[in-house]
Amino acid sequence: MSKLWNYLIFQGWMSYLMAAGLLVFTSGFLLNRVVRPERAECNYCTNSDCNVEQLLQNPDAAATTCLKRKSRVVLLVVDALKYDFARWHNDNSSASSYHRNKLPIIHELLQNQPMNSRLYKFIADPPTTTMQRLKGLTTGSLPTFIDIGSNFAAESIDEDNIVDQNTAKGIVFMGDDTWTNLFPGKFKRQFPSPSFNVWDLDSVDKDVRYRIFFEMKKEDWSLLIAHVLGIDHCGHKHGANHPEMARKLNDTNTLIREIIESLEEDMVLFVIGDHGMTESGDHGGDSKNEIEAAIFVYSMVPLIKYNSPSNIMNQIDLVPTLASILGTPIPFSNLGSVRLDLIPSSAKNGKLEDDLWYLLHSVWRNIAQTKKYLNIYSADTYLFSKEQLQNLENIYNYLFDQTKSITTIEEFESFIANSQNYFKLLKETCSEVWVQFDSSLMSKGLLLMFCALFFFYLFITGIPESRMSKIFQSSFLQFSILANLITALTMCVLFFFDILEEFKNTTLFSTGAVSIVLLVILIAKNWDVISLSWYDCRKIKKLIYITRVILLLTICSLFSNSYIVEEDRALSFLIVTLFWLLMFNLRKKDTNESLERKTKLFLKQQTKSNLKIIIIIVLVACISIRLSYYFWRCREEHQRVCSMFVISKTGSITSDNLERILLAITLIILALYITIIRLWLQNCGNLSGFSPSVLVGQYCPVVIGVCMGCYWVLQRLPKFLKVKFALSWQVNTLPNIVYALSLFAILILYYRPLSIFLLPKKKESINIYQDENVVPRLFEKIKESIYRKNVDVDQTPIVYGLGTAYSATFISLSVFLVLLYSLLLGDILSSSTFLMFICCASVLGLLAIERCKNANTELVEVPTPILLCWFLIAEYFFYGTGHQPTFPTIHWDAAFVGTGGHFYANLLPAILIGINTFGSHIILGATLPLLVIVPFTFYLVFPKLAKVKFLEDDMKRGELLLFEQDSVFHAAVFSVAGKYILLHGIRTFGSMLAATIHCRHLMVWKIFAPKLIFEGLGLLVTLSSVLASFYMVFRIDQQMEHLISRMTKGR
Amino acid sequence: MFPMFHSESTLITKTELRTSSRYKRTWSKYMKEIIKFLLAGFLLSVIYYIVIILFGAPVFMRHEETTMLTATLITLTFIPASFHLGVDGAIEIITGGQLQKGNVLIDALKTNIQATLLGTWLGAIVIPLDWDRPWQAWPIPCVLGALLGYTVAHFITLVKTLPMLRLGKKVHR
Repeated sequence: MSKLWNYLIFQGWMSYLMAAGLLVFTSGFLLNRVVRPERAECNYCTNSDCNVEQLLQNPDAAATTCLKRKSRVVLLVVDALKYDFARWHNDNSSASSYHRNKLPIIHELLQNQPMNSRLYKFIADPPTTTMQRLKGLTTGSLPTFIDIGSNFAAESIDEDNIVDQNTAKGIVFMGDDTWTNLFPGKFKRQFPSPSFNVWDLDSVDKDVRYRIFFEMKKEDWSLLIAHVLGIDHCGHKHGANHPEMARKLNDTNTLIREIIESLEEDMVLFVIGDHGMTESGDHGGDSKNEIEAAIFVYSMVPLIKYNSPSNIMNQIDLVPTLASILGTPIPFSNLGSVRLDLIPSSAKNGKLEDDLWYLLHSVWRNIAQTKKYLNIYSADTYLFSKEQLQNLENIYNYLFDQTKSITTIEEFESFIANSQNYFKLLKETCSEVWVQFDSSLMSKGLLLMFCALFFFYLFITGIPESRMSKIFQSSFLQFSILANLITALTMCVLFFFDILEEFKNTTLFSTGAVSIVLLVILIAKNWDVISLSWYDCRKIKKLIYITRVILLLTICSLFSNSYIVEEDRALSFLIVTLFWLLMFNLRKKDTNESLERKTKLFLKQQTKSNLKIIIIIVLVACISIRLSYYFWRCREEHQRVCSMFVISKTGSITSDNLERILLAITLIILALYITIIRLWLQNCGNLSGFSPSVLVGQYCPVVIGVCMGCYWVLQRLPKFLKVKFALSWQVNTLPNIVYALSLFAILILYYRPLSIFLLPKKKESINIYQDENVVPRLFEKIKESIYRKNVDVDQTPIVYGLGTAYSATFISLSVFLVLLYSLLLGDILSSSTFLMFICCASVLGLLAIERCKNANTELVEVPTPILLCWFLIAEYFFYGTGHQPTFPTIHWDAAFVGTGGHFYANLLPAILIGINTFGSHIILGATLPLLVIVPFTFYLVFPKLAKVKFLEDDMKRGELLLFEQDSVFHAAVFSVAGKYILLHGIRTFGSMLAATIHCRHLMVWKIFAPKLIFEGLGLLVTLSSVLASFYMVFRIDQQMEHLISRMTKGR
Repeated sequence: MFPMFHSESTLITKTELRTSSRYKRTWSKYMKEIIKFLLAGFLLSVIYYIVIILFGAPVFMRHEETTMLTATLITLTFIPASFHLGVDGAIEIITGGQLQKGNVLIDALKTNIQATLLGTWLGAIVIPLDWDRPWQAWPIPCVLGALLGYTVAHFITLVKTLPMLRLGKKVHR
């Protein structure tokens, strides 16, 4: 038994190696911008004796002086307020649209009071997720790519920001609670509302509306922030083209109107959108629709009249503008430039002359602040080239001199033009520099991954089973684990004494290097066997070559952006090809055989029927893959017409009938799936008796299925009916029951994996297994047993389901995983899991037929084409269940199934979304040992179909044979699991390599980097699920041994 | 090139023809063969169509394009094979059955069919690339691939048979 432990540990070790390579690589590839801890400070000059004109004669002093507050600011953040929503469309077609011309108040004010109002495009920097945008909007800094990953983990902002700077003057906040997480304890009064409940369109907005007018009457604040979410949530829930969107925009219109009515003389209203939305209502990427938000400014006093170059404003420009209005220091790491025409003027007509010195001061202060930031940043990181710095320095000095000498408006305007050039150059320089990669970490990661894959490949393919068990019996493994631990400890100590600067990557790399060295030693020691077995493998079959070509193609496709975009098509194409190849391969062998034995008519007939079955299996698999096309989701780059359920949001399908039909189909398929599995287990005898796993397998799936069905039906009910039937928490208990039951069931399966019923011995045993007319047989048996009193006592024990003990456990494990997965996918997409099930079943069927027919010596050896097929299914059904490797297409709704959007930790939603996204990887990884087991099961269940050339008697014992030949079985499971993770590892390596090669590619952040992240996460998920399945085999073996020893004792 | 191979097999069929003396019978036989040919061709094209759809062609749109590809494949695989070997032989070859080994004609036809299908398969590789060329539209690369594969197969057969031809000349001398 300890040998299996060794296999498990070795597998874990290899998984760790791959994961280490991946992690080291990604930490070099996805760099963070260094957050500077400095704060900006300034001397307040609130007295009336403060003369700006004199102050500007000394630019250095002016830069660190803050002027008096111009006015108070009401900042209304309307989540996902797209420019298109705010802009007025004059054409007729807009009248019928659900989202155009729905904010007439903005249009009215622009028409009637052009002096007091402004509307601009408010360009967001991608990633366009709310958290990242809020960071950008308050700190004025450019975001980096990796920030998107922390959308869930809303940590507080460490960088200097506008909120921190204004805390002393009083900030009131209401709305989206992301703010209170970002700025804990910074607000004078805060009224947060939970933000993550996407289904809830109104409650946040209502809260804000309830509070804001009351707060506006008070005098003790200088900045009032209100963040309403209705439009964003409506987009997520229904998409942009939906009647609800018109309603929400209307609400917003009323809110703005009412705020403007209650504005006081010293207030400015900023209405801003943090990002836009796509047609389907999502956001996160960098398409035009997503980055074009709107900014609308209204002031009671006229705004300064300054001809702005365009109607475009960057989001980071908001920070210095607000700082100027509020008279606070500009946050330290701001890169934005102050927007002059948004500042309220001090005169009634908004003429420039009166505010000239004030404006000059604002701009100069801004220039000086950015220069200071750049100086400090570049001093520490050496990222900027000397030329770039010198260039900026020159312009800065020129501006410095110019500041002192300005007297007229013309001079002022030329100064502004120069300063705009300066800001442009600055931004370009910075955004260029912040897309740097740490090439040494990247190459380390690549090297580690490559070595791990290469040597593991040698190990797994080269060393035969007998030598393998010898290796695992030696103390090599213990030694290597010890060596790894020692290395890690050393690193720990070194880090503790400040000798090492960085802990995580060094540890990963050093342990990885040590492990590689150990692996090399191991391989060098066994080189004789490896070379021998390689020599034997010279004559490879044609099919294996083709398989390798297909594997190569899947990896090559990672290097082309158009192939990554169209990967769903490419993968399905390759799977279908592989299925056909498998079919032709089997058929060829059939005909060969039939040619040999032409005389035996009977045999030929049998092969023919066999052939029919094979063709049917392949056809069914191909059709189910083709059907799964309808569950694909489109990514932004796709120009194709997406299928009807692509958006897959509740309420997005406007026709009720279609919705109902789809729901009915889903429910039927769910019932069908549960029934099929139940019938199978029943036929195998794994549903009789009272052992915990049997009970779980018998009742849990049904209960879960009923709960899921009820939940979906309740979700689909019209709104007015829903309230009548059940409250939202009552609806949410249904999925919670599903979670609890499936978790419980999985735990039980791990605790007591055997679903076997050992018939009690003393009583009469009646064997009515698999009979059609049960009742008469039963009667006969009872009669027999009554008449024949002296039954021979020492009959063999009768055990139900012993022949399928292994497979039954994995099948019931997969049932719970699949049900969980389909619950999280939602009612429409869940049918795709059934298609996945069909595909897997067909692969298993093909494998079993092929094995029974062609296996010459070893029945447990899984051929590579089948394994590749399994791997491709895992990869394909990521797409087949409506996912795409981009961030906006992540199914965020999965986090709300059963939680109702109220959760306090980020772990739970992350797990739910993880299961939703990588369900296919989890399920196919967890059921991997079925590939080894299934020929035996198959033979037991369909003895007619499978004709084995040898071991006929042994085969009748089914999977018990596996238990008896445990060392062969374990080695086979080990090699299958190893090859499987090798396939995933190779693909991830390909993805890493592609990201490295294309790191200056135009599309790297849009296509290659997300692909790498998804592929890497998929690898990690696969590694852990394969390990879990390995552990399951271990558990089953333990329990089997226990059972057999009990049985023999009882005899 | 093919008539040359044909001479061997036609000898056999000719002798068969002579034995069946009645003209009417042969005529009806021809009719039967033609009907069989049409029927098999139609069925096979339906099968091709379904297989193409399974490989990812659109179902509800672009019938014409898919039909074009099917027609191309039928003309390149089934029709030549059935002209040379008869309908039964053609079907046997296409479904991968084993006819007599070592027959030059059958081998050549087999390579033709295999290369055509392989060409079609490989042609699909170009479609997703974002070069925005007009010839990347749906069936064109596959049709071109099929034609190319067909041509290459002929060259392969030529190269294969060259030594055989020389041998044959030597024998004649």
